[in-house]
Amino acid sequence: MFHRRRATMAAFLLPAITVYGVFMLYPLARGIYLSMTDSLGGPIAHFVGTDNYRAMADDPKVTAALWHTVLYAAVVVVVQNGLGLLFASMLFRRPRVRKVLNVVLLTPTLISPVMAAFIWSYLLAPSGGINVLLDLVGLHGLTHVWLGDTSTALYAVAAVNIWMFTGYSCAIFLASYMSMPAELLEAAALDGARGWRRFVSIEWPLLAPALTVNVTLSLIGSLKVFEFPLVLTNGGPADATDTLTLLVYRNVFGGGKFAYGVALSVVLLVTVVVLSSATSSLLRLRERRI
Amino acid sequence: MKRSGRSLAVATTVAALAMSLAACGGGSSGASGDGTVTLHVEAWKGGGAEPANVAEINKAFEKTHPKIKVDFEYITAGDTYTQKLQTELLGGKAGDVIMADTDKMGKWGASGYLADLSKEAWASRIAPDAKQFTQADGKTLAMPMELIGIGMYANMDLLKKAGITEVPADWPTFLKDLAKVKKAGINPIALPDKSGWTGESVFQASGSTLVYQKNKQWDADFLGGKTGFDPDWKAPLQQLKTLEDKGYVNWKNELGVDDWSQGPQDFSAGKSAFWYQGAWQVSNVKKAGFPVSFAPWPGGAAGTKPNGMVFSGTMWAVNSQSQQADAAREYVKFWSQSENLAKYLEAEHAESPFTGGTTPESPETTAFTTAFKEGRYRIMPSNTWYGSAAETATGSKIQAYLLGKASAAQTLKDIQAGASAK
Repeated sequence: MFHRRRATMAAFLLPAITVYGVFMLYPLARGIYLSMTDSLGGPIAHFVGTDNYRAMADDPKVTAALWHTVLYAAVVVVVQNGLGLLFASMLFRRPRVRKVLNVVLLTPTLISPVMAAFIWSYLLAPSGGINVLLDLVGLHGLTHVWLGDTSTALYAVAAVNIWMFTGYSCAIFLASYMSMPAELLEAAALDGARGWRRFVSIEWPLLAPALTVNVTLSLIGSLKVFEFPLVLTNGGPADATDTLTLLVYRNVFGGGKFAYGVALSVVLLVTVVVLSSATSSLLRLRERRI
Repeated sequence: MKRSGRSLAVATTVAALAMSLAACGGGSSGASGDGTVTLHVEAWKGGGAEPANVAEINKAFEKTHPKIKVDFEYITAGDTYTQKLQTELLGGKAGDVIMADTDKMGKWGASGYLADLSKEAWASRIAPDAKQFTQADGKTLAMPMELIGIGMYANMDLLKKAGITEVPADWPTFLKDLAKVKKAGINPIALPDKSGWTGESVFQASGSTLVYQKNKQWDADFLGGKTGFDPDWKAPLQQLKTLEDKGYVNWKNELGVDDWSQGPQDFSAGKSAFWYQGAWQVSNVKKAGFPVSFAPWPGGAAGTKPNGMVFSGTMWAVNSQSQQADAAREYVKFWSQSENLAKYLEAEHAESPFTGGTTPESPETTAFTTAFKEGRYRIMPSNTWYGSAAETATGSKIQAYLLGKASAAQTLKDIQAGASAK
């Protein structure tokens, strides 16, 4: 009986496992193999062992791109979720405008990232909309070459990412807010918990699952960010916004170093898996403690 | 499955997806029952903002070859084209005839994707200067379509307002003209450099005069380890800085403007007196309605004539996996004939890469064409030390220099390292 149940389960799982194996595991294994060759992207490839990985260790571009990627992810995760939480908290307290504003906040996520980046490349240009607006409101001192300055370019790119996905984070936090037991919030109000006190003691612990989802999703998304730096800065100025994905892309399609690019993507894979699973595990541990 | 496990699976899946390259075919080629052959041609010219008379030439080809139908596919230039063709070639789905440049030809040739065209009749007519850019391992793998200039554009209306009647030919005159233009309240020069292309290209164009007029064999000497970038290329690098020191350009601003989209739009809108780009933009700029002149970068000493910088541009290659090899070779042969290629060269404002080939004249490019005819030009060594990887690296190193993040000596050292990388 037990064996038949397991056989039935296996039979049901088989199609999904087959699809996953063919379209995920095989390309992954093949990619790892390719990263150990000298392939230029064609049928000719010789096994070179860990040469590409050793070359990577001596490549300052990789170290810089890894740092930019991690910094970018940190900025996006903190600011995007901070703003998302702030907006969700405000909308929760204003039921009349909640639906309308939630739709407004979600609108940027409906635009293609490439199109959004292209529009923002004009807005962030030296004579673009942002600087014109700052001039108009008398803040000329704040005008800046956002994408042309190595000290602001990465943050400008991150800002576009944050603009695009804050509404998404907000929607998840708001859903979590909406599922909070009304009696619990009423009891807290009766006990005199209001404002910041209520947020810290009641809302924040109850938002833990939403925080886990938001942080994990935004971390994965920002670690593998590609379209924004590609369109907005193409990794510049002076490599200040070079990310791992851009390096992969440039080596595979531009530099003709196909195998090296694949080796970089293996490093990206490991980085994404390690950081996202570690973060996710820590946040779940926190959930259980609350 | 636990949620932590699910996150791990999602992370793994997402990253694995980034590693898998999907080949996607486009167009069609084959033979029909009545013996008509359909030839699939892929190119980054012939559509969008650069029609380049490709449609007219294809029509003429079909007229003279009624049994061959051309299925032409235009693909956006740059990364988009490379990405699409790379995966199609890998999947055996690429066109019968594909556009290439020297860099792509070298890479695709090394992977065995390109047919050997050495025995084609036109191969013996390639100009000696251009031949090296069409070959790999002694085999001719592509038919050159053009030698195209990259240089300085001048808005003659704006120059006239500043009292200037002709495009400057040397560095001191150029600086004087920039001062006059600035005094007239006009933005002197636009060098949009967000992608890093303009900076490295001006550096190369300036070197075309300052380095190669002193030593025509500089490339060979460099490759032979007899010379280096420091001090040979110090002056071209300094020229970039001088433009800012004198207040004619703000590099931080320029690094915020896109070379390929905003740059051409701004110049066509009459926002600056001078600009730097390839001759392929002449046709588009002409539409703006003001008189324009395209000339070599005026980098030389007072009273000298500048060298033009020429780039071995587009080429036709035949896919070695093509089922229509004969038709593909016939198509390439048709393009190699002067009367057909001239239509393309006319649209591109480029020079013929063939000995005795026809180079169309145009008033906008007289200054550049004159330099070419007089032998005052240097071809960018995209087949040796200045392939796409070195070009990209040079662009970002020059950006760092222009932002004051690296010294001239360090920049030249970095450029040399990039140019020496295998």
